[in-house]
Amino acid sequence: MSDVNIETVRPSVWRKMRGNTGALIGGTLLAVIILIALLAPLIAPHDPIAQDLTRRLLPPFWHDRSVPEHLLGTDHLGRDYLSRMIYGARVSLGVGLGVILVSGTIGITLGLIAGYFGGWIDLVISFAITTRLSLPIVLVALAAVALGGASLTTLITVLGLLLWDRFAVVTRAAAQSLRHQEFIEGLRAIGASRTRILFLEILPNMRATILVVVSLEVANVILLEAALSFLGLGVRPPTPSWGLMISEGRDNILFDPWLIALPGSALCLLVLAVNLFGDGMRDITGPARK
Amino acid sequence: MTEMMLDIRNLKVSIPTDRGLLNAVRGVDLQIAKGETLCLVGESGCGKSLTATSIMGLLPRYAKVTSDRFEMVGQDLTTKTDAKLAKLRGRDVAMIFQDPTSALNPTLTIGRQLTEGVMRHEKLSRSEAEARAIEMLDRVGIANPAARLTQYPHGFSGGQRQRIMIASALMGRPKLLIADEPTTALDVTIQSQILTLLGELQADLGLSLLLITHDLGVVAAIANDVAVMYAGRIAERAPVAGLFAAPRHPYTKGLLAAIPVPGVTPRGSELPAIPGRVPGLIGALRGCAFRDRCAIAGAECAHDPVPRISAAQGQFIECVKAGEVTA
Amino acid sequence: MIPMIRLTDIRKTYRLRRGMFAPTEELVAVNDLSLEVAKGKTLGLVGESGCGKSTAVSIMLGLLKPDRGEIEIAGQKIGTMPVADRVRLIQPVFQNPNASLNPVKRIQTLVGQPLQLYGGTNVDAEVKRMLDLVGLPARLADAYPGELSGGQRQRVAIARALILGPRVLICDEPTSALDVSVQAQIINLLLSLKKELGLTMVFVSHNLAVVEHLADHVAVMYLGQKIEEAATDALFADACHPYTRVLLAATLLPDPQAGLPEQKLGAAAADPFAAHRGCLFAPRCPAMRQSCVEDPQELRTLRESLVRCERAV
Repeated sequence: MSDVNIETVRPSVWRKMRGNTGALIGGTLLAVIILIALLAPLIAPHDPIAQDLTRRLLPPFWHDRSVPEHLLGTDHLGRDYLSRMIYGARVSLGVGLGVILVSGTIGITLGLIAGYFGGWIDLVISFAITTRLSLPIVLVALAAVALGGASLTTLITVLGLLLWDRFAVVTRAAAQSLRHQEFIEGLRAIGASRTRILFLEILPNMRATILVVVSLEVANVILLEAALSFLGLGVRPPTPSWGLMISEGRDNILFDPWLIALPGSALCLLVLAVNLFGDGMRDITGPARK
Repeated sequence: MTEMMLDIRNLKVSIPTDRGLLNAVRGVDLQIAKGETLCLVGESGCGKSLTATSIMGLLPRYAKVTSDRFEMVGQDLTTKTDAKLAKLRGRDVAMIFQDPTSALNPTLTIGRQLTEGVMRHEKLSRSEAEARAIEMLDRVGIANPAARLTQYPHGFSGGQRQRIMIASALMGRPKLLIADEPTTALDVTIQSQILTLLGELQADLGLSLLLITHDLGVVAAIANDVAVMYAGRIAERAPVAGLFAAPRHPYTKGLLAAIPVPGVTPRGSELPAIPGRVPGLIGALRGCAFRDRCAIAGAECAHDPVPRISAAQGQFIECVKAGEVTA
Repeated sequence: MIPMIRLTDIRKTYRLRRGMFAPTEELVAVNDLSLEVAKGKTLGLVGESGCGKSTAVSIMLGLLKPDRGEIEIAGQKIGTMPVADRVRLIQPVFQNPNASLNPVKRIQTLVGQPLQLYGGTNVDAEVKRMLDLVGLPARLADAYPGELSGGQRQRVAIARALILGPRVLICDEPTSALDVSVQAQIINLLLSLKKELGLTMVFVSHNLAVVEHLADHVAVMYLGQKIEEAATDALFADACHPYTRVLLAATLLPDPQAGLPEQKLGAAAADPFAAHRGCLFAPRCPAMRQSCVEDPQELRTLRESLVRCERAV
């Protein structure tokens, strides 16, 4: 056989990533935050909910009034701020991940089905998407919390059930363009089941697209969690969450602005990391095409 | 000396990719005399379409285009400015594309799409432009042209759309028409109609035609001259009769042999296929690009530059083994 | 002898609505199509876009249920056959090797998949054998389709179609997306496979030269109807139907002496909604008479052809 000068050496994902500064920075940052969240009990110097009213509102290390054992100071109840920040990462990432699992599963499934089958199925699902888009998230969350009480589970469920629309819209469009490809007909000719075609053949083709949506949505969810916690609709005190910490720091914004600046920066950093990483991964994992 | 409508020397097009510089066109010479049809024929990836798009100045900015000489419809464009090219485009030079469906805007009427260019370029009034559009549609064989100006592209069949595309290209009364695979998307019965039309137009209007195709049947039917392109260079250029009767470059020979001809090629016989595949064009290419697939290649084929053996009337081949080829 | 493929009076219509409030119209994609292909033979199915070739292919593969008619492969009705049996009898090779292979799967997976689906054992060894059969080096098993050339991809598609050991191969324009030099490679491969494996083939194409080279007999379709069928020699030497003649004349040969065929066709395009009882080609036909439009045309034998034209002589 003469067709031999084929390049079968593929740069690994890892090598490609080294060439992509955004993905590298984002990935490293994300890895650090995830590590911090996972190892929280080991690295947090204090119990994040232990109060010490004698040591309230201590400033962080760059102030001259700071205390070495509270590196980032304490909040208005004398809780160690560094420990609360570390544990707060758990909530942010946990909610982000949990919500994406729920919303992604719903959205991707609906989008795939709508896009692949078309016809009245598509009409019904598109109607559901439109209906979902017309629901104001904060109001629905408010109602749900009023009914079920504020808790992490309620928060994840409510956001998960509300945020699937973007997944659905994107996968629907992608499935529509893929369903007429000849390889789908070929799969039907070898008698592959619809489930296999949808989830094992079409879905992997959307990897890059879905990755982008995931990164956008994770960032969105993390911010929403913070906002809802800030409004008292999310995580209940004394659980440390960055949004809640911002909310609690509100009263002291004038004299102790770091109470807001620290969790605020952490949020910023996390969202940035997720977006950089998602963007980079899309470029890296796209299928090899000429 | 016949007047040249297109005279290009040593055209090079490079496109930066993430795997390196893609040297898609590597020194192409093209001359088309007034009223001539030159077919640029080659396989996918040989650079024939890029050559056409670079002549039209339609390549994206990141593509690097250089040439030693670039004259078109009597104007020297070697040190061309985009503005100068843009002025020629749509008037003296026009282009038609492979897929008439995507080249026409589905949301605008035919009349609007035909008249827009000349109203801008030639400052024609709407009624003057429409009169010309009717004339051109009639010319390309669209029945009842006046009434059809107000219709949208979806009301036409594929063949009719390609006729409209041609009418649209003729609106500026061009002297040079560049057609990139104009019949590839069409059925064979429609294809021969469109080719007949192009041939008639060329004779009547004195057009010069640069037709890009991969189909040697199309070449045989319509060309005066043929340039066979391989891996970014012209491997052989010859008048059509000579090329088909006695191809000289091994690649041209291989191409012609690979096509089954009803009544000539014995049914079910093994076709003499060209082995292997087109070389990648990223980075430098030493010697003859065809030598890996060539039956008569030898050590000298790896040397640069590949000698060009010229004959009368602009004929040439680029092959160091040319002596043995003709024998 | 039982033919390997037998289609009897196949009819398939689509209901279409042109515009939101327009009444639904019936588009006859395939009408009264009967075909027979003997074991080990190749049928060329020829026609232009909209002639019903693709619908016929889908019906033969069992992917589309006809409104009426029977398809039998090796004497068994395909409509009532379990999928697992069907896929071992008949497999397709599609036109565009870029689109017929899932770009995110490796060649190994793509070729082995049909076997995997039907609980085949020793998949790896079989894949290797198949790659060898279609002339691909085994080390390509690890590659993705995007890393292969068009010709290599079409070889992969053929390997995938053959791994279940089907007796019938339906090739839907398998070379029209390929370059001339690669086309010859694939034609040679199909020819040698046919001989080696005793395959029965249906070769769908608009390229008459390729059909002439591969097919034993040829059926010409126009707007869903078979308008002529004959042994390849007879059809190319002496076509009876005016449409077949036009089609043959319009096929451009690599011969400058041949020039462009004189067009005798009317300017009208093929209209699948044309609502008359007679010959569907009549509006474009150079030999048209009033009776062609009025009288239904039946297939009849003329010399060596089966032809649907009362005026053909």
